[in-house]
Amino acid sequence: MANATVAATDRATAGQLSRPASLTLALPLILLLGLAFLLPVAKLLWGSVFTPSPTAENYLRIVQEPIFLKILLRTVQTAAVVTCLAFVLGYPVALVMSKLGGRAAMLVAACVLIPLWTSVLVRSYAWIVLLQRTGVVNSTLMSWGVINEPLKLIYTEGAVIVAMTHVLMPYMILPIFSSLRSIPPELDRAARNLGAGPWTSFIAVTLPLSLPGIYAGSIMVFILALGFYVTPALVGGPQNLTIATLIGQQTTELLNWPFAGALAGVLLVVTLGLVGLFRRFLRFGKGA
Amino acid sequence: MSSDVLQASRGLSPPKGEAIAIKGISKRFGSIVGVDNVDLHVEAGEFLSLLGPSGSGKTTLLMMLAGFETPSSGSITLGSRDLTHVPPNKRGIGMVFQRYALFPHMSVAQNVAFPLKMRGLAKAEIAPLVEQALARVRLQDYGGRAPAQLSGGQQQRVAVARALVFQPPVLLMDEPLGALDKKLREELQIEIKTLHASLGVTIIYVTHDQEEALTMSDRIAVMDKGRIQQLGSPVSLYHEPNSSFVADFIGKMNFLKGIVSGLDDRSIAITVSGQTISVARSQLGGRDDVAIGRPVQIAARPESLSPTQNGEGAIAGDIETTIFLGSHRTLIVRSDDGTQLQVQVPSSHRDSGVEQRGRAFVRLDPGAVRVFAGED
Repeated sequence: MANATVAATDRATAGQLSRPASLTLALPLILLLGLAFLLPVAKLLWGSVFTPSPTAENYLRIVQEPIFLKILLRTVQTAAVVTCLAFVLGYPVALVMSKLGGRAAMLVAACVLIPLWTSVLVRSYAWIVLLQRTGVVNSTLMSWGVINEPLKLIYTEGAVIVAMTHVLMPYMILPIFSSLRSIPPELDRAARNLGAGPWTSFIAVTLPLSLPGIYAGSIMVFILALGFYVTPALVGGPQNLTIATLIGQQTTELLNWPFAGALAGVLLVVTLGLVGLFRRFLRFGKGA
Repeated sequence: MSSDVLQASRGLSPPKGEAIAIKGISKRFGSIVGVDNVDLHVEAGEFLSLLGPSGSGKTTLLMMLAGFETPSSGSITLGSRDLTHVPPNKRGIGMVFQRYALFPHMSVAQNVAFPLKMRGLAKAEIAPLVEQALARVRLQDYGGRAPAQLSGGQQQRVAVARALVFQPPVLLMDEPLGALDKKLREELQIEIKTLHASLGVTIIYVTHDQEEALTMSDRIAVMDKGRIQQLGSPVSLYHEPNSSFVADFIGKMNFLKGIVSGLDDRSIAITVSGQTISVARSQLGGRDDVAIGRPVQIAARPESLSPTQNGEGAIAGDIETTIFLGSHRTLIVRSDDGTQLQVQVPSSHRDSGVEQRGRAFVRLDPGAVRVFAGED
């Protein structure tokens, strides 16, 4: 008892709270997450199996009707393409950000962060404005005489990929930036001094040491892209259904909640499975 | 050039240090002058230290030698090769950084192999060279470890092995022992000295630790405000500093105020703390700007001051404290005119009649002082 008091005082002086006290502080969040998020998800998943008698019908339907597997595959494919694009476009930005100092660094950081703070809805509508039949891109190209007829840009898979890449890019840039920042600058100098050109030094030293950031960014973008709803729903056409928009359709239009639950269950399993695979693959790649 | 290094690293020719000539080099950062028109010739195989306080330009000078900074003007020549605009990776100069700069994602052996890989050596050629380099720093059994598994001293030895494995003609060291504790630092000083002697590589060593510079160097360039204030052997810098800055920076130094009271061709008479001493003109450091009645500074090492029994011909004062330093003690004496003096006394001198506290008389060895005129 006396010991426990001493331990509690130690923690208190170290600026730490006792376990019950910190649990009490976290309780509102736990309750909110539990009641507003976990419970409905559990109910949805439960409902996909018990309707009310146990059945595998909803899951069988996904496997039996090829359209659903096709949509699932396309969703994974789109997410993978978006992740790759976000990496290819985002890495140089992170690299530049990590090398800049002072005002210039703040400017680039603002360019990355401001879109992140803007609503996804607003950003998606912005893409509609840009890409629609009479949108900025088409009218500009026509006024330059590059094309005579407006191109079909909006409601295509390309539009979904471009818009999603844009929306999700900050989630790629920021983790990479923070891992690049933590690499001591003398490592690059050491590599240069030992005979590596700028490019070789980047490949041999900077890139491998930024792998944790690449991993964190990729997994974040990939998971977000797998379940992304707003952007595909707005800039994608009926040809570009993703699993999230499909779930939306099932719940809001067809009111087929058990089937939506089954789709959500499959998405959850696929996401966790792919993340697991990705993780193993990257750990293997690191050679550690 | 890289083929020379390759040949050397394949053991076709014994490693040899090369000379470095720095001519009129300057580096300006905007309106700030980092290095101001420095000329320096480093002999082949020499151990030269760049010594100075932070901001003196020593590191900037080293960065220009390594190729990480481009000089605003002037030139750098290695042997007969103009290095001024050669990129760092083509210079073939080894470098050791203060914080080791080992690649954390590579093993110790991979770190040491890195410069050889960059030079396109085959795996079969690399392995024995790496082994040899690690053995040279007594870490032959550590090749498979990650740098993070080694102590600071071991990491720096790996860094030295890595910088020397391709047998560069010149090794640059940027405060390499700055992050280590005193005992380890002294061990590694000896190790680096030994390596230098056995390899014959030219070493340019940046440090702000004057003791380290005195211990290790053939010559020391004392830098301040972007310029070399004095260049010379440790002995000459210690005994014949040419400015009060160098006198103060190297070793311990007492400064006393004096007035010139007599002059002739050979000697100068100076009145200091009521005593008159006579020094040779050759003891005048820096500007030869003496005239009767002018103030001068007298710089005297603690070992050229000695306590004495009677007050005749000595500076009188009070002992403030005594510091025991093993082989000797240092008395801190406040002279009657307010100057603080450090007086070095051998430890066995315990019963020399000088009390731990109380009055003391300090005799100045006139032949061992330096005189600086017209500096302030």
